[in-house]
Amino acid sequence: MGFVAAAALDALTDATPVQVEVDDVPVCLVRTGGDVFALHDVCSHQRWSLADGLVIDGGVECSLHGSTFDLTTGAPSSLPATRPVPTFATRVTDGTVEVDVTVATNGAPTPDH
Amino acid sequence: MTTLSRIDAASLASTSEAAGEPTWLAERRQLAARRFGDQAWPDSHTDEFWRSTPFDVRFDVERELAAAEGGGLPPEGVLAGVEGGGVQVTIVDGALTSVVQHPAAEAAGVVVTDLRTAATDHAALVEAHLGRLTTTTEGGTGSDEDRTITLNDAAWTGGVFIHVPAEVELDVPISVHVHVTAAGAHLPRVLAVVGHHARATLYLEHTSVDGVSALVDEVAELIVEDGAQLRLATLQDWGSGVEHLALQKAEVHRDARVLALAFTTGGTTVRLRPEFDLVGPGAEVRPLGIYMASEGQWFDLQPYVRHIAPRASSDVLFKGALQGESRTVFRGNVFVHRDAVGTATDENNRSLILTDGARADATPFLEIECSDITAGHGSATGQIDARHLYYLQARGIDRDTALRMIVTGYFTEILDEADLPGVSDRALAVIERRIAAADLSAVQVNDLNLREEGEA
Repeated sequence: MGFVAAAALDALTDATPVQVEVDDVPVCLVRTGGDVFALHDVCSHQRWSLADGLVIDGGVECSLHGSTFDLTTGAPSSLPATRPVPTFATRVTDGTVEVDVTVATNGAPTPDH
Repeated sequence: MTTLSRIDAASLASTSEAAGEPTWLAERRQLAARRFGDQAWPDSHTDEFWRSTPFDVRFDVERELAAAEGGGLPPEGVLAGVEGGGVQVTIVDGALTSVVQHPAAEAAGVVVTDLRTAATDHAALVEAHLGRLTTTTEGGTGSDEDRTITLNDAAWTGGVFIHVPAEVELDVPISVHVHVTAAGAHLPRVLAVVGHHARATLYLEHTSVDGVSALVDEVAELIVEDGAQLRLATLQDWGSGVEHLALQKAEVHRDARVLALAFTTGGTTVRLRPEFDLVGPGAEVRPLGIYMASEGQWFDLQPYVRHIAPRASSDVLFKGALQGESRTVFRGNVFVHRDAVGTATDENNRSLILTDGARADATPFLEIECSDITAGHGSATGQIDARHLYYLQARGIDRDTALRMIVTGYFTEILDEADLPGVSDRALAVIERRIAAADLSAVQVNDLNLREEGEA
């Protein structure tokens, strides 16, 4: 609980999403330079892994229907998704990316599908 | 006892032998068991038809088959509201417990009997048709790509066989009432053959003791031969705790007509596949649906019409209302084969979102290989129009009564068209009960049109 090690910073490539499991929660990690963002990995529209998509304009695009979720707010840019995906706090300690999945920083509900 | 995932050919073989099943039936179960072993449970990541409903979240397959000793009688069925009654079949906890014939059906030679004994007593018909619509054959449209169907093919328990002989016009309904009192898995099976130019009305009714945790994996195969007419109603009136998977598949031959009403209000999760293969020229099908979902419920409704023969027609209409944290999925499918010239098809879905938090997904899909056809499809999801409420309230009707009138009227369009004896009254009673239990003060209306009119 709290911050849990999720990946090595060196293992993350810039703007390339990676799926990791943190406390049994699927998380999509996106590195942009020195920052790492964490979002719930399941699209809020249908069950699909966001880590399968591309990083575009500060968001990660769901490769199924193209809704792009903002890395900081989790909000979708367009239909078909209408609800944000949960975003999680991250920090880097000694080259290790840690994620806290106990609370969604944007208050978004966990996708129920 | 073993859970569903561990069903194997050896245990099925001994069950077949103990039940005295004929060799052909035992062999078919063995073949299905082998396919079952090769298949995986549906994966919502990879299977397009399962994408909207997470199989692993909404269905628990780690269950044992429910004990076949029937526990208690089902509640009063639809036939109680039918003047003159009908043929009543009862399946309780995976076993066919009673068949009460009706003099009119008996006199006309209508067969309604245990599917297991029919496999011997009516071997020609049962062997020719059982599993024909679920198993992929050359050019066929089997459903055996889905493990939930193969499971029923291999291990069905309580089953009924219905045969309405050619040219018999049966006016009394035949009702198959599936009732669940025991926890576990239930695998009911229905095979109905409606002979050429015959007429029949078939009800599939589903109820359970509230709170019993059960998975019901049901398959119904309906053969509607040349010029025959079938009116079908399926009522998902489950108590809470039931997960229901159903394939109700009709093969509709030349100039035959089918009207099918799916009424879904009960259960925790219902995934219903009403399917219609139009295999004869001039076949006609009218799939209708009503659904009302409340807190915690998840309904996935997937009507599928396949236009395989020329000049057939179909018109799908499903209407629903949602409240609380509930989910509904309408994934309609109309397939038009390249040889199906002169096809006329339409497909529509309407969902009323009554309160905040409900979500309705709609995909009215078309797959067309032939250009000489007419096809339409559409879907609308929205809230009650505030103008309707305003109009009624302006005439002195209070808000709650007005909301009840609007929702009931919304569904009456379908019930009036189906006009099935006993079903309309029962459905209206359920709808009214659901509205009575709802918190009408939480109902939200869309006042966009009202505001625009006010500004004009």
